[in-house]
Amino acid sequence: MSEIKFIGARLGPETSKMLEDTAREEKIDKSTALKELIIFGRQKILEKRAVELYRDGRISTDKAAEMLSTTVTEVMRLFVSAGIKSEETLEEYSEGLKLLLKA
Amino acid sequence: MYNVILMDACTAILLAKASVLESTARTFEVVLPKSVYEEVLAGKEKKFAEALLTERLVQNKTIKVKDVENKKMRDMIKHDFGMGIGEADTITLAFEEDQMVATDNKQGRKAAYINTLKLIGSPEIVVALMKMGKISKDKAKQSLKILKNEGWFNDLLIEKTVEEIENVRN
Repeated sequence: MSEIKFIGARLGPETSKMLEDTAREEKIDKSTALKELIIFGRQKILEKRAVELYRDGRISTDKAAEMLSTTVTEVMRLFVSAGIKSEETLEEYSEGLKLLLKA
Repeated sequence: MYNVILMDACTAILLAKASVLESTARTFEVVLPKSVYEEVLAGKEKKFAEALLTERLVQNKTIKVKDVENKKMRDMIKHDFGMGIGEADTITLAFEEDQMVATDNKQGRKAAYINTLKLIGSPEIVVALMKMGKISKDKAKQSLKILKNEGWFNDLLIEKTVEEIENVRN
């Protein structure tokens, strides 16, 4: 059973303004705005981590999809927007083509 | 003789987007590990065309779906390369069956090299289909343009494939 916890946090003026601006712009109360910012921020942190791990050759696209609770298609879009590209070389391409043409 | 292609989710998605997945499966025997099929089908919820197309091709038996037997090897590959089940199953099945593996995924390609598998990627599949007379030159150029726009491949590689197509006599 989920329970609502009270968490006290000290916010600096800039963070506090972010919270107030979000609440005003989204027409929601500050408590809801804080929850949304946490959820959105957490997702962005996970995305950043997935991009770094893929770039470093430590996870595959489907592993990233699992991490982000999303689809492989969306992970590929995320990676492309982060500037990631396939590292297939011309030599690998030629070898692959030869293999297919022999099949 | 290698005529079976074990395909991962990235390649199935890219070929479907480039509208050559069906031609590929009608030219070669395309096999998706069960887990890869599930990964692609996850896009159905978001109405992704590639998921709907893959489902149709599996339902009409143009693409085969197979489960991995050697789960121990699959789990080892999954762990060693930080893969999801689909990618690890693709590598394991290609190893078990000694057939070609199609992956455009960094980790998949790395694992294929280490396990000395017969590795192929989406751009060469498009060019091979054209050279084998399965799709026209215009269709191949159109498919490569889609792959370029998807942004997954480096421009130099795509330019080389387009050049290769241009040099083929009709």
